[in-house]
Amino acid sequence: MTAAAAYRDGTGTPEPEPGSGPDLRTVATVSGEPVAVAELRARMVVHRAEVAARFPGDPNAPGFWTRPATVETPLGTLRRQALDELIGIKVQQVLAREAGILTEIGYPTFLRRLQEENEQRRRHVACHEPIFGPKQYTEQSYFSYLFDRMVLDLRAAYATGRLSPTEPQLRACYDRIRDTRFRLAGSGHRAFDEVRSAVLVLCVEEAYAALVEERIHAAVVVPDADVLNAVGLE
Amino acid sequence: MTASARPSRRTFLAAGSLAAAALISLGTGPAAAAAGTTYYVDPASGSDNNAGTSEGTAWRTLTKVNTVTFAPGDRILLKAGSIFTDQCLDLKGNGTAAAPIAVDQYGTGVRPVINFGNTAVDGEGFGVRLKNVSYWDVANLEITSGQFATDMRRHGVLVVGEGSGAGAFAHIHLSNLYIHDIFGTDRRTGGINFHARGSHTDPESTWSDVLIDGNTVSNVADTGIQTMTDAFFNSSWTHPGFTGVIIRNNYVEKIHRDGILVRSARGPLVEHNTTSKIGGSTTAGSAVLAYLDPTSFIGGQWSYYCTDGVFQYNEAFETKRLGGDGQPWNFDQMVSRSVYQYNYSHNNDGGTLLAMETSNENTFRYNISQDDLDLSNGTFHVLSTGKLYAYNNVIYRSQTQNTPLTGAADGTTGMAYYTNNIFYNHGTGGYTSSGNATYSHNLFYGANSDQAPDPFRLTGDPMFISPGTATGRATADGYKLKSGSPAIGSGIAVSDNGGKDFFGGTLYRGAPDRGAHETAGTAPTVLFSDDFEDGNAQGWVTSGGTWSVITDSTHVYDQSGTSGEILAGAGSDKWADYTLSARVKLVSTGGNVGVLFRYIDASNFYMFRLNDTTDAVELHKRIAGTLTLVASTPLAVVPGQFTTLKTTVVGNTITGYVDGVQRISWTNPATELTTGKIGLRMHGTAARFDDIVVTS
Repeated sequence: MTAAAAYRDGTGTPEPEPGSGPDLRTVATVSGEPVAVAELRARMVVHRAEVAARFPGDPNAPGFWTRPATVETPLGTLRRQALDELIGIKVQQVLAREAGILTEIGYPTFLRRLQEENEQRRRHVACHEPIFGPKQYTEQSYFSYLFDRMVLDLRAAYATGRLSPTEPQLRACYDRIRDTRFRLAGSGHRAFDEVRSAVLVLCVEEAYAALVEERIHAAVVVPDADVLNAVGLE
Repeated sequence: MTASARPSRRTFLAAGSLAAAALISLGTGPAAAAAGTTYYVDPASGSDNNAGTSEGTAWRTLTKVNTVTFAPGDRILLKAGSIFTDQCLDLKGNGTAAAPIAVDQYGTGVRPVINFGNTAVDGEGFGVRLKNVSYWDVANLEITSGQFATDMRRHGVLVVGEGSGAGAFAHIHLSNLYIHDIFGTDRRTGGINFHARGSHTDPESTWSDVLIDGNTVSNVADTGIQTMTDAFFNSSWTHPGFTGVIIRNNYVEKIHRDGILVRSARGPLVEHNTTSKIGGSTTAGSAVLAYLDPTSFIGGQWSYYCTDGVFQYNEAFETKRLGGDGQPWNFDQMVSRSVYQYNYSHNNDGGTLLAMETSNENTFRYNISQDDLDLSNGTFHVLSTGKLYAYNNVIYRSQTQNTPLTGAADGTTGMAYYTNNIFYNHGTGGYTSSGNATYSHNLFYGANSDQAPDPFRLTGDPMFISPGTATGRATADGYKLKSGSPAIGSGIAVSDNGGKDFFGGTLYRGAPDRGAHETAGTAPTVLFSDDFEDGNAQGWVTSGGTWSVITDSTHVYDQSGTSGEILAGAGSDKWADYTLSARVKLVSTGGNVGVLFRYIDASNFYMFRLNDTTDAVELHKRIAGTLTLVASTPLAVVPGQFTTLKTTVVGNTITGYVDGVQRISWTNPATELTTGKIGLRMHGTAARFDDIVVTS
């Protein structure tokens, strides 16, 4: 690999050798946060069947993904859909970092943690020590697990912090959800004071969702066109 | 001594034996070319006119696969990275125990994906169907359908016995599948469904040797993974439909109804699974939601009409409470002799455990619950008319949950036994005092710690290493006990306890602990000991009475005076938390004899004593000369024989034992008598003492 090739994306991250592991080049930034090629590709895998079904023809046929369609190629649609999902992910990871819940939110850190987690699980299993959850995580399941835990921690921090609801807000939230979440077996619903802690959790969930939407709308996405346009399915 | 009698229970279920199955060879298509043939499917370069038996002569479509009745040892391999749109696998043929039929991928790359879209066979959609067949291994596929407004049953994998081919099936193994974005219309749909179908009067299909291992199920309606039989509704139904079921290492998330639901099974083993966002938690749009089954009662990982099930090493979080329930764990209707152990739950809406009306003889042990909410009648929602044994669990509440932490069973035969648990309650909920709940040796910390009628309760800080910090297995270590915890060594032995604690440690190592952690039982530091075998009592300072070392089988410390208060003291006045043990003997009837601890002087000490006059064991404190009885328990005192008294004082909590059995536990609400020596005391009574030991 030549030096020029190593740094052709201009981000300072080298282009990987074929078969040398995940491609960690930056394919875009979301409000300044880098998105790695491997990160984008992981989301593309999840969406590929659904995107393929939206276009006529055989997705296994040569040229299917790169042929011009009405607005963009199927591959372009797939990349865009995956990137859209990553905007939502990135803004929440940034919120977690701002709240001190995470210090590192880059995909290389995630991949390292995945490897460490699975190695630790292998050791525990070998030593007949208990583990919880799968013996080995996949990239998809571990990302979901960590991300869901992160959001839980973030909402818990917000419950007593920036999204702490006022008493009237709590009561308004209760009024909105009491018939769906707190109804009694016969008729009526449980009193506010009985379910106050749950109302707080649900109220913060609502406020959190609104905050994330706000951040998504405000996000500035800057793709690296050269890198992005070279990302395929494999 | 052991806790209340319990039935013997095995703690681990091996894979079920393969019952001799009445295999039914179905299918009307051409027979496979030869037993043990490998078939390849390549949608890019294959052709359905090919033989299919090499990569170069691969078939092209799953439709072709569905025309063949496969034979034992056959393999159907789908090319990695392929996309099969609007197709499904409807597999036919039977393997054998020695030669199952396999479906897998070949080549390198991501798993081949079956996107069955809005297609249907016999009126329902699926990625893979195994109808009336046995001995199949299906692995390494991705299955999806996407969202459609069509109201239809849909399944990632449907394993079904029905119609004229219904029977006894064996060996269905599903592993490393990624099943996502599938939305079915009713409760018998979802990610992975085993279903004995038919009217309640039809012959019932059964399965043995079911393995569901290492799959990811995400964003699915109705349920993530389930087994079901329609024979429930047959009033003469007496046998389980599923044996040898193992559901292991699966990750199940974003589910419309239940996470993992095992019905009609004997001895299912459900372990190492994670469920999250269970109940009303898919991304289904309004057109799909319009036809999905209305969700109401939701559970994370649970069983129904099952016996001898083991759920262990699972994690469950964010199970929703919609119309009801919302717990991670549930012994539901007609579940008996089953166990939840070594599981970790957190942030579930409905509490921690549900035990339904007809459940009986079930055990919930060595689990940790961190900040489960309490929207369905508290942490333990117990409705059972049978027995529930809940022991050595940790229930941690840091939030403002305000419903009860414990529940009582129901009816004349129902009983919930709470033993050796630690309840760490920063909420405001309390504990039931119903006669259908029995407590023994629990530790209650925080609000309402004195509410449960536990004769051996402790109420001090359990001294966890770092409670509330668990974010996964590694950091559940925060619920281990610090050295000096009052929970260490203060529990009661429970028979058939599974042999391990939450962290894999062996039970027991020394006296049993309370909570989910059994400490290593390191040898205590001996601060003082005197067995008087040196023939003297050096170090003892006496007050009143007549003291000497005599022989009573061995050398003992004898006090023969019978007038007034008589004392002897030894040790350091700087000792704070320690255990004092001594053998004591009343020489004649009608008196009292005890040991003193945190003994400052004749006017300030704690005393743990036998009182022959009242036939009781008593705990007293004397502050500034005033002697106060703070706790007592009836006990037949026998003069003329040695009895071992032991007392442990940690902080303000004192626990007293007689001949190894805990008789008293009391926490001083005031902080007084924080340090002091040990002593021996009697009033108007001759007595003898031996083997006096103080340990840290």
